[in-house]
Amino acid sequence: MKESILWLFQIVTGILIFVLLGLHISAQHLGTFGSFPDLSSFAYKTLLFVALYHGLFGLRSVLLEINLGRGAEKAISWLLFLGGLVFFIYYGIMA
Amino acid sequence: MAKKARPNRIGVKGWWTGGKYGVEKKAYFLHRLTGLIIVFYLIAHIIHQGPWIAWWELIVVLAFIYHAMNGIRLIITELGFGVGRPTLPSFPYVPESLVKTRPLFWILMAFSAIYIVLAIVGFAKGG
Amino acid sequence: MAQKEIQIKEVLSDEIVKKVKFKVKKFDPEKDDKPYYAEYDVPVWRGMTVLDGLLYVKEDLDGTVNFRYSCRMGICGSCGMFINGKPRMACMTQILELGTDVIEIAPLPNLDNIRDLVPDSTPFFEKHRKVKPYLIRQDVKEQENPIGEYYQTPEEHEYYSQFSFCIKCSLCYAACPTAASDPEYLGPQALAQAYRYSVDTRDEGFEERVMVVDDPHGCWRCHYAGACSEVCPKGVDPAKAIQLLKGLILKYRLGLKKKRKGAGVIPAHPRPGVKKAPKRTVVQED
Ligand code: SF4
Ligand code: SF4
Ligand code: FES
Repeated sequence: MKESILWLFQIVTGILIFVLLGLHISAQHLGTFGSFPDLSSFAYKTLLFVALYHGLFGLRSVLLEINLGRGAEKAISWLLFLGGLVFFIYYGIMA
Repeated sequence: MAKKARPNRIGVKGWWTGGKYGVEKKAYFLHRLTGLIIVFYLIAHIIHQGPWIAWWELIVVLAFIYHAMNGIRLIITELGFGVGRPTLPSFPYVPESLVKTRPLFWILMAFSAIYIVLAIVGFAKGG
Repeated sequence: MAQKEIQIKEVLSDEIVKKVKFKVKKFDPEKDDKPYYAEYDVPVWRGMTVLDGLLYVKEDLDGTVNFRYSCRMGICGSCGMFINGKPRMACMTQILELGTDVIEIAPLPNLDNIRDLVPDSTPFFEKHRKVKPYLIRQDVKEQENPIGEYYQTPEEHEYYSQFSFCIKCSLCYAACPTAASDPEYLGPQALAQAYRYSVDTRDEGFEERVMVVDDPHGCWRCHYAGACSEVCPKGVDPAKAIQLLKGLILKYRLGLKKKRKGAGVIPAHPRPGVKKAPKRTVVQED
């Protein structure tokens, strides 16, 4: 896929995490300031998915910039993509 | 025959050092560092759902606050908003793209500071 | 306060006002295993640039010091060096403005070091070439054998002219943290030029350039550290151009960018009220 579109997803997922994880953390850590309802299970799954995308794409960005060579970079991109997918299915859908 | 030239690329340490530049370069490095902290925590957190070492969790929360706040600036500027239109430079030239977006950076950092204080207070109260 | 009359002598004088120490990073690949610093005492007069200081060293103290320069006036882009912690043009840097008693001079980083202060700019120029820094047109015939000029309004010209002041000095490339670790990254200069040509109303090559720039080592490797704009000696502000480029590419990928044809031709003749120019005296043979 085009690098620009992948990067656009990075931005969109960033915004989604900001909202969802903001709520999630508030519910868990700011209990003393009031009551924060935690995320529904669907929202939680969405959060897991976008967080995985954002995190792994960010990791790939860093790895692309340490001169590993195009071949290794392609392999890493696929590895992160498939790894992320398996991770999501295992912990997000099956769990 | 002339010998080969000497490689002189700064390397990964150039993300942090390598010259006197503006605050944006430090922000670039911190964004990267906090991002890495968060992604490794995320994976560990999902695998290991139980209680986590608490002080380490606080660091992740602080990293998240910075990453989110600086991220807002990056989303705006990297889409080309707020960096200014091309203009004829007059000298001494002050880079418009930086001067125009720096206030946004400091405002977001002020928010970061507030959230960080809240997080630490909440943490100290055992939240 | 009475205005002080400025005497010509105060501005232009060879009176020595200060002495500074030049610490010059030296390296000769034929002799040295490692670079080292050589020190020179340099007398300074008003208006003296770092380049003047280096020329003084070469003429009066040590003829072996190597550096590159040509125009001495910030036009040719060849005297870029790492001076007191920043990439700067030696000919545009006033010694007195630096305000230090020791001036440390090293070759520009992120490019191979050929000798002393001389970097190998070849890879940098190759990146510039990669983004097709010229007008791309469908009417190749008109381009090769013009009957007139492509028209452009002053506003249209102003929209890219800031980026056209680039002198390819590679200071931005030496400053960029991404370029510091990723040799494949196109770098601020080339990316800014990709934008400069793509928004020129006479150009029709945006799609061709997107293929080069929308790449894992293209514009998305820039994370807006701004170091490039901080050091650019010509006010090009490459960071600005790159962010605008990113926005433009996303717009294009989402189908929101209007397609436009390159500007048309204003025939040189006849123009109402303008006398015809004399025939060309120099004719290029094909
Ligand atoms: S953009 Fe500025 S710093 Fe970079 S090569 Fe051009 S003139 Fe030099
Ligand atoms: S703004 Fe982009 S190109 Fe310029 S120094 Fe920063 S990362 Fe490099
Ligand atoms: S000598 Fe030409 S730019 Fe300095």
